[in-house]
Amino acid sequence: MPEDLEFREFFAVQFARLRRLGFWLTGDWGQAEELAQEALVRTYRRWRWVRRYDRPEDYARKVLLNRHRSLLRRALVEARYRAPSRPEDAYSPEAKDDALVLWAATLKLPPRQRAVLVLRYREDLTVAAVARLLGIPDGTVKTLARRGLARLRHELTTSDPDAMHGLRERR
Amino acid sequence: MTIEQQLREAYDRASSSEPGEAGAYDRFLRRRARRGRVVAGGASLALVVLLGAVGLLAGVLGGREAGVQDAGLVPAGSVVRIPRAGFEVAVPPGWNAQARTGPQVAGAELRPDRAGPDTPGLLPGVVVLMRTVILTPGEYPGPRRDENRERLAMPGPGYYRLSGLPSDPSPLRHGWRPDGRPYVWRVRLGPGEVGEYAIAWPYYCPRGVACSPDARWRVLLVQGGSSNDPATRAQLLGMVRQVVNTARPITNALPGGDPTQVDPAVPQATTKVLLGSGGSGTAAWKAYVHAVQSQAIFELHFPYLQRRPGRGVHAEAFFERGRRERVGVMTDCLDWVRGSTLIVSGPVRKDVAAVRIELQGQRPVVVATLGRDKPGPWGGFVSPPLPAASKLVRVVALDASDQEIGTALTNGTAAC
Repeated sequence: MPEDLEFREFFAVQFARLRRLGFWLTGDWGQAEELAQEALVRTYRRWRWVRRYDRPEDYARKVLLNRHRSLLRRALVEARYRAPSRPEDAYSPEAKDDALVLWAATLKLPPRQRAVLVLRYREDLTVAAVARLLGIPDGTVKTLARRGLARLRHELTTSDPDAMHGLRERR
Repeated sequence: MTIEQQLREAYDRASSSEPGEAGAYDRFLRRRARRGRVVAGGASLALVVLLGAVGLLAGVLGGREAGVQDAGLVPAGSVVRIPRAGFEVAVPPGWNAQARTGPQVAGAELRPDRAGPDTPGLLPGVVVLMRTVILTPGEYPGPRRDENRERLAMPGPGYYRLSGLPSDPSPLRHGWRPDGRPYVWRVRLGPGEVGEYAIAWPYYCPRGVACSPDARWRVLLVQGGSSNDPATRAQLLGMVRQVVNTARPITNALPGGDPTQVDPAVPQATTKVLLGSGGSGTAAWKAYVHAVQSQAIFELHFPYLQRRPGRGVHAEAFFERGRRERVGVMTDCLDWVRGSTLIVSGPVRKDVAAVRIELQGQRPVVVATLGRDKPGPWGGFVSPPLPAASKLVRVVALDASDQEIGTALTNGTAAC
């Protein structure tokens, strides 16, 4: 199969997955699309090699995670992206049940903890796979997951939903 | 319900408002095209050429380059000599070296000796890669010997890359070996990566013959792999610096070296060739090509844009994948032209007399090639202005008797 055609199929399968991963990391569909597109462009540039991998999608996922991290590192870009790209892209839950409180709480976690939780508990990856993707030791993955969950538990038990969503007026 | 289950549900609920995927692939193609539309000035051009020269060598990292041969291990205490790459380096205690040569690769790897004391284990990233590329002096991103040290001690002159890394470039820093020879280095941005260094010495010019500006430089790139362990990283960095400080030029890279020993893989120095010019007004263009290793670097200049510094050049390196590939394709969406327009261009081999540009739902456009009378193995083609919404299907190379001798598929993509 020609490489371009092959990549197109890869794109068709992976785009939505990558964009969802981007959303779970950022909480913003516009930014998620940006991350997914960037990851796929960079994967395309290496497609000649990546296509031979057992799991080419891992390469794209890793690019996305790295890109997310480097965006966060850059203060200017971060500032740009903190505001949702378009108002309608920002997810603003109206209901205030546990799931939504929990979701809002994940967005307040440090980026690495957030990434570990997404990969471990939403993508169902093993500790080793998460470690490989993030380039950190297994033990660090476990620690980050434990701390992240503890923090979420704490948020869940002590949360004031209005405060979680920044809706409470300042006194 | 456990916190993990609640978390899963939270993710699912949050992503239930997922937007549709309509147009995602088109957006991808536009982004890809934008990325290719390197509208940059001379500095970036040097970068493109450098990338082109180095790009093929990326296979060294994974050992996937076709035809690459691994020589035997060179133990610590010996000297690993790579005549084709024009350097030699002493193998330090606790490490061993392996020469790697192939059609596009000339270099060596240093790896820790498993049996050696106080050396990191044989992990995949724990390796120091040394490889040589041949560049013109203008393509080398570092300082010259005669340049002012104090000026160069200032922050780097630009944001060149030393190799085709997926991460964004970091500024180049400068340093000098104990013998005064300058080098450049940069920190790589990948997790745990040590950094990479480039050190140059002139390619040998026979005595009595003035070296032209096109005389190539050998540039030894030294890359220290990566490790998550700070101690291993420090050890790798030390090894990289030792290699940079002690590598010696040999063969005809060394002034006074044997001028008859010319690397077969090194092409003759070529200058950039103006293939032709055309268009009019804001859409006027000039097409250039030059060869680096086995690639054609094709450049399309838009003088209208060049009125603003640092813009107006789209340059790309085209890989020679095999003898059957005779045409490369580059697209430019001239969005500064009223109503916008598309120009399809690219390098061709000299035996290509014309190209047929096939567009979805439109009659094909046949364009005669440019520069067949010019020196070098490559010519080029540039299409007339096409409607911006054109979807390119393929570009067919035709010989002088209108026979198809090559094809570049473009997958029916919209270029603008």
